[in-house]
Order: sequence, then structure tokens, then C-alpha cells
Amino acid sequence: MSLRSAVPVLGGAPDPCDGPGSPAPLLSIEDLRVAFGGGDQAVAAVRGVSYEVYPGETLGVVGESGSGKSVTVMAALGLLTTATAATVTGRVLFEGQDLLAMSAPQRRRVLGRDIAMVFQDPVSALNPVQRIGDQIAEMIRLHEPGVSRGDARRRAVALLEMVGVPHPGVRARQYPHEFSGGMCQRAVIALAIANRPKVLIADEPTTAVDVSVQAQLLEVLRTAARETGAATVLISHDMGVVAEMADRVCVMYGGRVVETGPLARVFGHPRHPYTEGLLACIPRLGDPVARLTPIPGQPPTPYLLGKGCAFAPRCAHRSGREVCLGERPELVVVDGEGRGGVAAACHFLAEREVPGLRQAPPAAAASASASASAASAVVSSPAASAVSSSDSAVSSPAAGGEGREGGGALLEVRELSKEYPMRSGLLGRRTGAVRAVRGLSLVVRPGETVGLVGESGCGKSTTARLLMRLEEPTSGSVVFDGEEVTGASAGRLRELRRRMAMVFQDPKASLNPQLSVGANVAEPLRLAGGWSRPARRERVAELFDQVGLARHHLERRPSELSGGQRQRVAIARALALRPKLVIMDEPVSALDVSVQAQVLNLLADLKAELGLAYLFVSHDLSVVRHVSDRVAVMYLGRIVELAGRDDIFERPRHPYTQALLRSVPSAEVEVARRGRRAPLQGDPPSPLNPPEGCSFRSRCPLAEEACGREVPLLRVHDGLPGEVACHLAGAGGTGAAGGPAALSAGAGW
Amino acid sequence: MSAAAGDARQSVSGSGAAEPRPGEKPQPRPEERSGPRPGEKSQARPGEKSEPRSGERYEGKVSVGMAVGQEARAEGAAGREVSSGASAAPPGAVEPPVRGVLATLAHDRWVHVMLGLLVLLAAGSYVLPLVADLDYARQSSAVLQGPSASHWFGTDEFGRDNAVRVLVGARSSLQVAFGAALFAMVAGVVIGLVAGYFRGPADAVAMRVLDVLLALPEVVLALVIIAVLGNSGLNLVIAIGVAFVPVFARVTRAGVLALREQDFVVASRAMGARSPDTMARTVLPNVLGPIVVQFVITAAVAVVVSAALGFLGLGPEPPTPSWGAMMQTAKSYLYQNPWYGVAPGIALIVTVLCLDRLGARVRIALGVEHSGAGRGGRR
Repeated sequence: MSLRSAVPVLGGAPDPCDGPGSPAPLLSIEDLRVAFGGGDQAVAAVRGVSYEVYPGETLGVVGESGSGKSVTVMAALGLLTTATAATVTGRVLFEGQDLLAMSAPQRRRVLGRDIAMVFQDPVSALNPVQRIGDQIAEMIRLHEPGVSRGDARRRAVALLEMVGVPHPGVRARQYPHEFSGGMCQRAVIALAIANRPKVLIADEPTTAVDVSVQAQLLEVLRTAARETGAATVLISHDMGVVAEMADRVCVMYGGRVVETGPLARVFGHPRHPYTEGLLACIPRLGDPVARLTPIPGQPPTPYLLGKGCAFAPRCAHRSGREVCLGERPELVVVDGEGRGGVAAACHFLAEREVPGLRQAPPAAAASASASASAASAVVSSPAASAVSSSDSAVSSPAAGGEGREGGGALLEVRELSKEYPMRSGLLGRRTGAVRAVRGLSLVVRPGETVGLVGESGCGKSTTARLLMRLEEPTSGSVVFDGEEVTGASAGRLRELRRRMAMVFQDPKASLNPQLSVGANVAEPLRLAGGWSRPARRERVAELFDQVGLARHHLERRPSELSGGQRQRVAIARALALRPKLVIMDEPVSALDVSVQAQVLNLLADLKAELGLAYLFVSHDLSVVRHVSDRVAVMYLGRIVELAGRDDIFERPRHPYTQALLRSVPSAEVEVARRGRRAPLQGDPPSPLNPPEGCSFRSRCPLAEEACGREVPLLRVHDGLPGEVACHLAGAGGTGAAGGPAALSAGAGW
Repeated sequence: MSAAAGDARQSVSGSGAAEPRPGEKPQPRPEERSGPRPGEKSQARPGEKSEPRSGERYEGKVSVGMAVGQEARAEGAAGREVSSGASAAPPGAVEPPVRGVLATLAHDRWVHVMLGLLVLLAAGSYVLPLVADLDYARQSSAVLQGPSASHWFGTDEFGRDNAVRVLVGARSSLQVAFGAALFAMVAGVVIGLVAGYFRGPADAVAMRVLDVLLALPEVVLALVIIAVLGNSGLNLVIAIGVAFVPVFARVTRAGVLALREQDFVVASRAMGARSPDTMARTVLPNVLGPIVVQFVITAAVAVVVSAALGFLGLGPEPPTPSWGAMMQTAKSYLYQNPWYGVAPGIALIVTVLCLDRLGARVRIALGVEHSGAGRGGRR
């Protein structure tokens, strides 16, 4: 495969900081403004955005949801006007021509040929009733009518091969539904580069896929850009992805660019308080901190933005100054010029240039200064106490591992399995089974956080539901607080469910939209009985205080709150009956990063305050590292590795864990650019038909014939901490030196 | 990246660069943005689809002050300070006004007109004969007259005033119609709720039985039931109501099926709720929208059915007037007095039209796009 050839790409080769001698920009957006609706109702989603892309470079556009990063691009390409009644002003120059001033036919000739897009959801970006190869061939012939059908097909196959689709000849004749999500996105990339575009715009290209597939796709995007020589605009909310891919970045907030410049300079030395906050609030895999520094407040709502700086209400540096609210800061060049220059939009850039604070190892300095500055404005007394308590938890990670044997188990899971029968035919005969969870054993002790991590489809959410018997397990047992959950009668089960609680991923879906949030929180109290109305009201108010919600929110509907606030409501509801265990199913993955940090801190505080035990299910390794005492890594329904947090993240022993850790993009420029990891190949196998023996062997770089014979058991190897389910873990001391561990060397965690 | 995560991150994407993304259109009116209230679930909410974590994007109509205020734990003194410092305006002041379903309806001119006509008709049929000297049974020698100043709609074969008879005939029509719709709603909702929530064999059996009911024309069904039970007001209500039970059961069941796997329903079970509690408190309020719409529309159809039964001779005993019976008699005197049948006909048309339009407006207010209800439901 061509893309596997070593890529000298972004290691630093095309240096973005060429200085004034750099060529003219290929695509430049000038003062683009987008408003939806008309008259008084008009909502400005994009408020004067300018950026340019130079030939051969990758521009990363970062921002949270609602920052206008996608709208900008859609508007710039003229894709907004028809259906949405949007008003677009400004100029979008491509090779000297204004795209917005062009007629529709002219623009059509440019789009797809010179400027191509890759969308977030690959499955819906492809025509479901047309063969993949035909779709690509059609795209080629659309812009190059001279090409014969046969030639176009052959080129389509070659393109598919280039983006790493195995057996491209066969795959080209297949339909999108026969492709996995990752494969679809490869096809979409092939489609985008079919006409060798000059600009490739990728809008959240990897958000819909798993980390291991994300790593593959980023590689493909890089190859695609290199092969076609296209300039790339990469839009993403994920700082890690941007850090890994981009030469220059453009940070957007509230429909404006707040900071732009070469990646290393912006991420290494953020000038704008928002960039700084954004970098400080993401949990880092390589550099765990006891407590995250969230950006206070909520991401802005376009129609509530005033005329001042959009970030002012959340800004730690504003210190009440009126100018931030009244006057919009312009993007001013701080340092350098043109392509290599850094520009930021803040009234107080000068005072933020405090010497001595920075210039050390950039990432560390940034987070340190951010925490220092943000802490002064935000921290309240209970939070401060929680810092110290979670500090102590961090300082004794081993205790989280195997040391707490004496505590006894709060939750004990033994050989839990769940199969979903597949039925087909007229009589619904059972033709197979999706084996979602296969013999899972796990212990959660009081006051402990166990992280359950894995890619989509590995059965982690099913496990969470099985534990509360929201789904009936096929076999196995769950014992909670000394009582059997699996065999409990309906009445006993209701009792048990009051002592364990669950927080779901999407708070919008998990709160009853018909009830006020106060009533939602009161539901468990009402159901438990024995709570009078005033007692309920009092407890709900207390819970609201506990999770940091204002009491005037009590009467609001869930739909009237923001995502972060809703998740606080969901957490308050879970805590209503003072449970001992809270099962969290991806509690922060639906939230923006700045809000995610707030919720993670809240969870840490609550744990310290109430002595809760958490089972924390997540796909996000950085988040899991941040919250967990012990971590279980799942693959295809089984736990493949279970160990103390630091053991797993610093000394991963299962090849899957190692690969997973290598796949996570890091927002630290240093780490991101260091010799690029080899991503895990292929897609996870279907749980309908998992490989015999070790399920991971189909993707394992170390797999031997023996791996197919027997299912490896989760056990302690060579007296090392943690349990691993790998045949090779014991053979010849893989643990610290040889075997799988060799792969992790250089990963640099 | 669980399956659920996939949902949250779903985006609208076009094929290549060709398709416009409706995604980013912000919707300024809050009730359009709010979560799945009764029917709003099916309303297009484009703002939500465009970006990975956009669920909360246009959702939070959080005032600036609140947004800041709630960041720190509320009990912390520092947190309070930030909160009060930044609240330039009291929370709520910045928010656009929230309009509920009822408020939306109250501002709807169609609703004013339609509801007004219906109330007028109902009030007129009960109250007018009490206050004015109107007797639907008073006979006179002026038989089969055309419209005149003293008899606006003429007279019938006994010289009774047609206008008065039509007005009073509305009683039976409305009583039967709303009674039947109510009966059908209560029975249908209970069946649909239980069947949809528990699924399994009970669901299969119930649905097959209802399919059989659905296969019979409601007039025929009503005739059979009255033949068995006997002709009385209550039996008429039941006879017509039974025919509409399947529609309500189906509408309810469809809503319940869509809801039962939703997180908040699962959450209710996870909190230790009993099934009846979950059904009544959590599921039912969220499927009520389409049911209300169906109720109004069923009432419209039931007016027609009751007139049809009246036409066939079933209905209130003479001399109590009913529209169907009047039209039946009018048919016999078509050549003597062609105006005879016009009055009950107009009354019937106006009533049905009012109910039907009312149903449509309620549906719009609730944002029920496709409830399986409406005229397509039955008939």
C-alpha cells in the first residue's frame, strides 16, 4: 500500500514560517459574514472571518460547536444560500476569482474539480444506490468529459488503492453499505481527490470513527494531500487531530477568528485567553494533572452575542473591564508577518505578554500559567478542597490498582455474557448471535473509579446496562453490595436500582422532556417513596447546589438548558438517593471540550465529597486516564487488560492497549509530531463472527498461530501488576522489555 | 464512540460538495428549538445536525449572567461573586419569550374562528332554546316552506322550523361525536400503551384483533353493535367509538415503540420505577401530542358517521331532531321542498370542517409532522 511508505510530511519539512517570500494564498476568505433569517430576527453565525490557505499547507480550523467553523466553509463555497435563507457577504478568492461573485455554473466548475470536500459522516456522503467505483468514475468524467468510461473506472480503482482500500478492484464494484464507516470515509476521500483538487476541505473527517480508524484516516488524508499536492483545510473540534495534521491553525470562537498562526507557535504559546483555556482544559494522556482547568460558562449562542468580544463572559483575563463587552477586538498581528505571523483578537494582548511565564517547555508552561490564572478567578472553596483530595488519589495510584484488596467488592461481576440472537427468514429461525459481551469479570470496590474503555461495538455500553439489568444477561452473575442482581425479583431489583445509579451519554435524551429539570431530579425520590413533597423539594435544591446549578433553573425544561447544564441535571438525578455506585456511560462525550472539563471536575469533587464509586465507560482514553483508579480495556466483548491507571497508560502490556494508546492524537505539538506511530490496521471484526481464540489476533501485529487455538484468559503474568489476556504476555517477559512492549517504545507516554 | 455516540455525531453531509447543508440555520424561536415535547420530535431541527457535538449548540438560551454564574459550584463564595458580577440583566430578560403549545394555539386566528363556530353551535343548541321561544317540536300548518323571514331555513313536513331543528340537532351530533372519540381514545391509548411497552405475544394478539376491527367499515360495525346492544344514546357512542379504537391504539403504539428505547425511559427503569409508573408518567406525556390531534380529527369523522347512522334510522327517537334523520326525510320531499336538506347539510359540513381544521392547527402547534393520524388514518 502506497500510503504506508514513510511520509516525511509534517515532521517539519514544509516550513510554514517562510517569511515574506512565501507565495500568494491559494484560497483566501476575506471578511466573510453569514446571517440566518432576515430583519430583526437575523442571527449572525459568522461575523467577519478572514483566513487564507497557501499551496501545499494544511490549515487547521479549531473551535467548539457553534463557533461557526463549518458555516464559514459552507458559505464560502456557496453551499448555504439555497435552502437556508442565509445572507452571505464578504469575498472568497480562489486563484484571484471571487467565488461568491461567480455565477452558479461557473462555481460548479470549480467545486469538485479545484476545491473538494470531505464530510464528517461518510455514510451519508455517498450515494447508497450506486457502486463506489462508479461514483468516483462519474466524478472524474464530470469534470473531465474526455475520459472514457473504462479509463475513469481504472482511475477509480487506482484511487481506492491509494487511500488504502484493500482489494480495490473488488471493492469498487460494491455499494456503500458493504463498506465499514472507516472504509466509507476512505472512499469519500478518494472521491474528493479524484480530480486532483487544489484545495481539499475536510470538515470533521474523523469525528464519526474510532480512534484506531481515525489514525488510519489521518494518514490517508496526509497521503492524499501529498499525492495531489493539494492545500488542506482541516476543520475539527479535536485539538489533537489539528496538532497532528496542521501547519497553521486558526482558532474560532463565536463566529470570529480569535487567533491564527503557525501551529507550534499558537499551541506552544497561545496569546488569546480562549486558545489558552482550550489547551488547558483538555485532559492529556501523556501528562495527567490532578484537576483540569475548565473554561467557565457555556459556549456562546449566536443570537445572544453582543457587540463586544464573544469570549468576554468566560474570559479569565477580563477582570470586569467594560471595553471587552462594548468593543469588538480586531485581529492584530502580534508577531511575524504574513504566513508565518501570529495574530490574535484581544484587547489586552500586551499585558498577556508577561515575560518569564512562557518560553519554557511550551505545553507545560501553557497549562501551568492557565491553571494559575484561571484558578484565581474560578476556584471556589469546595473545589479547592477537592483538589487536595484528588491530589492524594493521584499520588498513590498503586493503591488504586491492587492495593485495596481489603476493601471488599461493592460490585462483583462474574463471567457476564450477553448474546443477541439474529433471526432471519419467515419463521424467525435463529441463525446466529451477536455476542456483545463474552464472559466479563470485573470488581469495583467502594470509593473507586474503574474505567471501562474500548472502541465502538466492543460491548462496553451493553455491559453498563447489564449491570443494572436494564438488559437481561445471557449468563453470568452480578453481585452488588452483597446482593445478587442477576437473580433478583422485580421488587428486589427496584430496591437495588435505588442504590446504584446511571448517567447516560446524551443528557438531552436521558431527561424526560416533559418534566422540568427539578421534577426530573425529583423522580427517583418520588419513585422511592417516603419523601414528602417539601422534603423532595429540599433535597432537589440541595442537589442543585451540589452539582453547581443555580436554583432558578429548577423550573426550566431540559430543552432550555445547555448541554453541560443538562448533564449536571442528569448527575444530580443520579445522586438523589445517595447511591454507592454510579455507572457512567460516556458521560462527557456529548459535551464540548471546555464544558467537558467542568463536568469532569464536578465528578471528581462529588467522588471526594460523597465517597462514590464510579464505573466510567468511555471511548476517550485521555478522559479515562484522568478519572480512573483502575482501567479495564475491552475488545470485542472481553476485557483484554485490567490494571491500575498508571500501569495501563505507562506500561501497557496487551498489544491492543498499546495500539490504542498510540492512536490517540495529542494536542501537544511535540508529542504529535514525534515519529509518527503505526496505527492499528483494519477495522474491528464483527461481533457476529469474532475470530477464534484471541479475538484481537486478526489485527495483532504479534499474532502467532497459537493465538487462534485458545482464548487467552485474563490473568496476572510474571507477578507484574495488572492482568492481561494475551498468550504472549507471559512468554519471554513481554512486560517491560521485549514482545509487545517493544511496540510502545517511542510512544512517549 | 458507542453506538449512541454515533448518533450524537451524525452530521448532514451532501454527496461530494454538491448538496447544501441545511445544518447551520439557527432558529431564533425557542419553542422550535426545544426538545421533543409532545410532537416536536419529528420537527426538523437543523441546528442540531451540523456539527459533532452540536446537541447543545443553539439549545442553551442561557443568559450570559447565568452561564457564568453556574460555572463554579454554587455554594462557593467566589462562584457567587462571579455570578452576580456578570449578571448585567436578570436571567430571563435576555431570553426570547417561550411560547407553549397552548399559547401558540391562542395566537392562531384559524383556531379562533373554528373554535368560535363550534362553541357557538354547541352553546346555541343547548342554551338558545331555553332563553328564546324556540321549540323544535312545535308544528304548524305551513309545511314544507322554503326559506323566509320567519323560518330562515324553511319548514319540514309537519311545519316545524328547520333552523331550530338543525340547531338542536347539533346536540346529538356533538354528543355522539365527542363521546365516541373519547371512548376510542381511552380504550385505544390503554391498549396501545400496554402493547407497545411490553411487546411480546400480547402485543401481537391485540394488534391482530385491532386489524380485524380496522378492516370493517365503521358504519357497518356500528350497525352490528347497535343491533346487538339496542338503540340508545350510550350505545351509539360505544358503537361508533369501537370503530376508532384501532386508530388510537396504533398511533399510541407507534409513539411508544419509538420512545421505549430512549434513554430517559430506560433511565426511569434504572431509577427503580414500576412499569405502570414508567408508562403513565414518562411514556404517555411524550406521546400525547399525536393522540390529541387524532382526537380532534376522530371527532370530525364521528360527526359524519353519526349522521350516516341517523340517515339509516339509528339515532335519537323522533321528534328529537338529528341531522342524519333530517336529511333522510328531506330526501323524500326533494321535489316539494328542495331547501329542506340544505340546512342540516350545511351544518354538517361546517362542523366537520371546523373540527378538521382545528385538528390541523393543533397538529401544527404541536409540531406533529406525521402521526399516522389524520384523514389517512381511517376513511
